[in-house]
Amino acid sequence: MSTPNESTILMVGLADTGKTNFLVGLDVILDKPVDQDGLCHSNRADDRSYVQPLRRKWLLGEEIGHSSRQASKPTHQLILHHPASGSKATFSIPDHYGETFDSQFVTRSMQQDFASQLKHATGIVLFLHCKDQADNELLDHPTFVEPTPIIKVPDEASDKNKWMIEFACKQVKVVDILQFVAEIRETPLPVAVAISAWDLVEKAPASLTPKTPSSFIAKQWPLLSQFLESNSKAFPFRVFGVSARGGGSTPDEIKRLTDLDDARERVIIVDGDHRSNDLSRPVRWLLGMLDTLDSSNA
Amino acid sequence: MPTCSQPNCPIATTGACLEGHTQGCPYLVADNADPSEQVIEAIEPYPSEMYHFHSGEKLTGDEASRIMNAVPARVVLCAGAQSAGKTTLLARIGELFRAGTFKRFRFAGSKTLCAFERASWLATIASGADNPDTKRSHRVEKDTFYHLQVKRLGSVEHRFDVLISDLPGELFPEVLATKEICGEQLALACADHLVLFVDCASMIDSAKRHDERDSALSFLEQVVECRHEPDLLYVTVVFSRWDYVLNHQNQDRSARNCSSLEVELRDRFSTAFCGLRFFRIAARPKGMDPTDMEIQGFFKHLLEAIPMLPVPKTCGVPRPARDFCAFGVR
Repeated sequence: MSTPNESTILMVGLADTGKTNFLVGLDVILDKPVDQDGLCHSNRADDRSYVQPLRRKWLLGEEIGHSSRQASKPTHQLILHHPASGSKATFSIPDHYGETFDSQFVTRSMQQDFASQLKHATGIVLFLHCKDQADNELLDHPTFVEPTPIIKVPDEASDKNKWMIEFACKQVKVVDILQFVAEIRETPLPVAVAISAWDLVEKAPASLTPKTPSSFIAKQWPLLSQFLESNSKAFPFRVFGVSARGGGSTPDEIKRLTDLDDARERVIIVDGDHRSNDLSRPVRWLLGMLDTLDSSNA
Repeated sequence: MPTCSQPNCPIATTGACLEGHTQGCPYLVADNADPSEQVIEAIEPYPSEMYHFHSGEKLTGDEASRIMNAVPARVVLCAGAQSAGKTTLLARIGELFRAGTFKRFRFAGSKTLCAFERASWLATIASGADNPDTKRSHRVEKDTFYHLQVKRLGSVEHRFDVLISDLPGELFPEVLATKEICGEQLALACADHLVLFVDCASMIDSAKRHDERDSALSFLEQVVECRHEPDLLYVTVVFSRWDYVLNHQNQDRSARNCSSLEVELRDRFSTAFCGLRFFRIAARPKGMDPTDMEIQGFFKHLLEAIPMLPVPKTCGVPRPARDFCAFGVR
């Protein structure tokens, strides 16, 4: 962070996993450092046409809905200042549509310019929604029945049940996208895994839902969790629980959020034993600026 | 080439739909181009601005060769009659990794995640199927491979690459019938491990059990005669669909039939192959839970029964005995 070179952090995640909410929440959080080692805006980027209207909605407590894929999304630029060291850095965080990643999985390809972004990125924030089901649920056999004839009706007869690649479960999609990345990258790529809507995890009964981000991903997304653990040299990773909005979108929830004197207090980020409003922690970790001693998920 | 009403959709240039539809995209604009233009488009090279990755489906012999030449890999061939449960067992192994159930191994990667998903699809609620089922492998899938890379729990870097082929059941009678067809099976030629499936749904049937027994014995005879250096091959016999035995009204007798076949196979083949072991597995049973511990033991056995040979230092130079190009593929 000592040189003001421009770097890229990519937000990766399937549709509706909270990428845009994170970007807007981060923009708000960076107004001033959350703690003495925190990050803040240095200068405002020249073009804030993408994030500024969303920031207004965020501050009003409105939900940032699924944005129209008709509109192009300019890359958002963050010019960061680290007051503790006096250094500055400029980061581009393109807000790619979730459908982009779905499409990459389905077509088994990606645009060369996106591949180039991945090749040179400083790190990625990988988004998972806490309510998403990672796997397709299996059927149970009702009861044992006597042997059926071995000759079965040909599979082609039941086209309605035919598998299509779009039906692949979410954790398979995410792991395969990371395997694509591994084919492109020649150097390790740090991955900050952001489990979004973490406020819902905190409200859920402890008997049902693990309360630390690392145990949550190990239980709910085992294939992804094991893939990351097994490939920690290629993908050094850390798991964060993130609620960039801080709550739901019911009128009561919106009132609760907007009643807070400091809008930044809405944000929840959980990182091992650490819990705060500092949404810049994943970015700080990707930049190598976060101490590792307080993490329980290394 | 079709076009799209969405301004950012690259379908007109790359053929890839912005929303990932392979068919039925609501934004697609009907292709009314002049036929002569279509001819011009057809001979243009495929656009180079896309970066392409592995298909996610079962690997061809050529693709499997690349893995075998790059890393130490275990090659497994599953063989047995139609509906014996070969693909179901492989699907269940994929499901256990997706559920994080394996105790001794951790998932480290797979080039065939889509193939595993496809194999499990008819057992999912989302498929709309009434009862769990498995799509059978077709003849065209012979000598194609599922791929898994796993790490032993607690090991820092020790990875295992496993390539698993399932001989389509419709080919099994032909392999039994003629040495030529048996000898043509490339997956058999380079397998470290042969898994023979004995279908317990047939073993409990007083008429079918004789044929099932005869097929198992004949198949291994055929392998001994057709496979080069059969004594380097490890054979595992899986009594599959074991729930049929457990749920049978005369369970003891059914189990004894299987044990008697086991004894006969040991007597006849324990010295012919480098090893012989038996498992009783119900991967998608009716009226009981899958025998997941046995499946985990089976998978561990595939990986650990034979020491993994290192890839020669001359990396990139195909080892003829391990490479499909030595068998005329490529």
